[in-house]
Amino acid sequence: MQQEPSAGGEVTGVAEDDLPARGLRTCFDQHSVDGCRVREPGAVGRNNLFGWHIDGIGEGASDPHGRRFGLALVLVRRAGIDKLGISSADRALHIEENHLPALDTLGVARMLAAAVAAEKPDLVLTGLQSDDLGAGQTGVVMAELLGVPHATIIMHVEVEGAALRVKRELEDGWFQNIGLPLPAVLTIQSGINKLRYATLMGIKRAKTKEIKRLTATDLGVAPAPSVAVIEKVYPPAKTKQAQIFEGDARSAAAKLVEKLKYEARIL
Amino acid sequence: MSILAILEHSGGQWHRMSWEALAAAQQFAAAMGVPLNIAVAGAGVSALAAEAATKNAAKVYAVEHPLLGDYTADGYTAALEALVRNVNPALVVLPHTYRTRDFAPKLATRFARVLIGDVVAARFDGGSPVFVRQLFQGKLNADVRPVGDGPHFVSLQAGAWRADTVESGAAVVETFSPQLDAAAIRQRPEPPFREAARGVDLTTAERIVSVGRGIKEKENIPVVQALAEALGAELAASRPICDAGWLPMERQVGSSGQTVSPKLYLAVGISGAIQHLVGMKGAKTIVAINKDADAPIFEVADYGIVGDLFEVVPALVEEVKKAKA
Repeated sequence: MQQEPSAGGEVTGVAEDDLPARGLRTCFDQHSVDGCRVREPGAVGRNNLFGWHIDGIGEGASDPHGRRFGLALVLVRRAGIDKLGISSADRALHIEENHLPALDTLGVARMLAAAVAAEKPDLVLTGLQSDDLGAGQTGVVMAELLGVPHATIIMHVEVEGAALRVKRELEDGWFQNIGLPLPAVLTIQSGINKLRYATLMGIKRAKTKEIKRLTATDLGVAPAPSVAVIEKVYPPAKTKQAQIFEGDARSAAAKLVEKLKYEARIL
Repeated sequence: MSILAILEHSGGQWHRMSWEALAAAQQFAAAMGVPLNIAVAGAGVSALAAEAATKNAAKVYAVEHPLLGDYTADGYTAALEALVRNVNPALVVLPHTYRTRDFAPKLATRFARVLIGDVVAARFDGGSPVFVRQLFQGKLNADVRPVGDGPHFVSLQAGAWRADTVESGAAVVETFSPQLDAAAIRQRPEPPFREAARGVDLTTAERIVSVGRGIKEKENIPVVQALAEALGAELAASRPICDAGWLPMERQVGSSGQTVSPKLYLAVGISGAIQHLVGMKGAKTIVAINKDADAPIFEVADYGIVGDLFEVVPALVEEVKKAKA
């Protein structure tokens, strides 16, 4: 799944120390564990928001090698910024705000939209949804705030003159091509391209890139109270109790087969 | 104060989740003690509106405009914004479909609200709603309370409410004709298409062995292939496996792939992201093999083995062969 910059770096009501214990990795952790994998120019990275200047419109944005990012905009909640994302971009913006966890999607999108508007990109790409809050709407909300058209769940992008033709995923294996004018916001579905790992050179090069640090005050965005408040976070109640077979692989497999044969009667 | 349920259709056919959303909206209206209205948007929706009017609701708004014939985010947002301003509901209820994900966040932003999306449950404290959403791919639940005046917007997860609990009734149909400007609709949709004729129809398979990220490498696929062969099952996969090209897209189970309900669904190395679960939780018997005892797949499984699939699966192949001998 592709990821969007999501509201709330920390989960309300769950002590941070509890997170690893539950086997959870926040998006931030995923950066450090997996390394944020960023793709060829012309595609989209995980967990990052890229504004993309298309220079030479008409060359074909689907060509994975002919173009460069004009801008990478990265939102990271705590310390650190995605070095790998920067390595394939010219520069980065880092929005630093202590109150980010208290914001809802609209609050986060307001800050992103303010930062993006100042850059005047032709195309803004976001992930589809985050692995943590999974709201799946930051890109769409940002498009509305920027006053530009959007298309979601995109699998392929072509530039046709001053417009885009994008392939949108529908349900049950259907797709649809949609034309829309630039500037525009697209939210990108996983599978659009192969993610690549950063090279050592890329990581070294990232250190030379400009990172502009911005706060809500810099962006002129007054923090607005959240209109959807997370009151409580808790493990879901089990609705079904699975019979778990223990022991070594062989005896667990034998017990399972017996159940499938005599209890579920499907062998 | 009222609730507005926005139902989805395309090409004159209802989206199956529309009735789930309507069933939920009826329950919300009862809990909040407010009337329920229904909206159906499109070009020529009178037959659909008439059908919706046989359900328990006060009014059905047939939101009619020639520019709503083909779905566009701009067209739907403009039309439904006009309706919501006119009706002024406390709560707008939608099915959490791909289409809702495309326009509802934009619609909510017009009202300085956010979409509380992919909701799995609701409760009401003295008439005020609290919605339950899943976080971290279903590992945690969160109670989300809409704050401030309505309209608030919620979309409901597939299968979270039952379509067969929709109450019948007799609603009044009212046509609502929004003012739409063709120039303000910036998306140019083309007809939907499928990539290729499906070679594999997983929906009719009696047994499915499905593989996820736990398999680690393409070279390991034969490990689960052997199990599928031993069981006489079709081989399927979660999205990351198909994204990586390890198995063809036509073998994908989940919200963006096929929805299956076999007699046996055996999930190997699949954690159970909600996008996968919605595609297979209707299976009669679900078996999960995963090294993470906390993986959400065990929440829907009937039987499970917590362990290394590279040990468990070959052992299972042998046991299955023995049992069949």
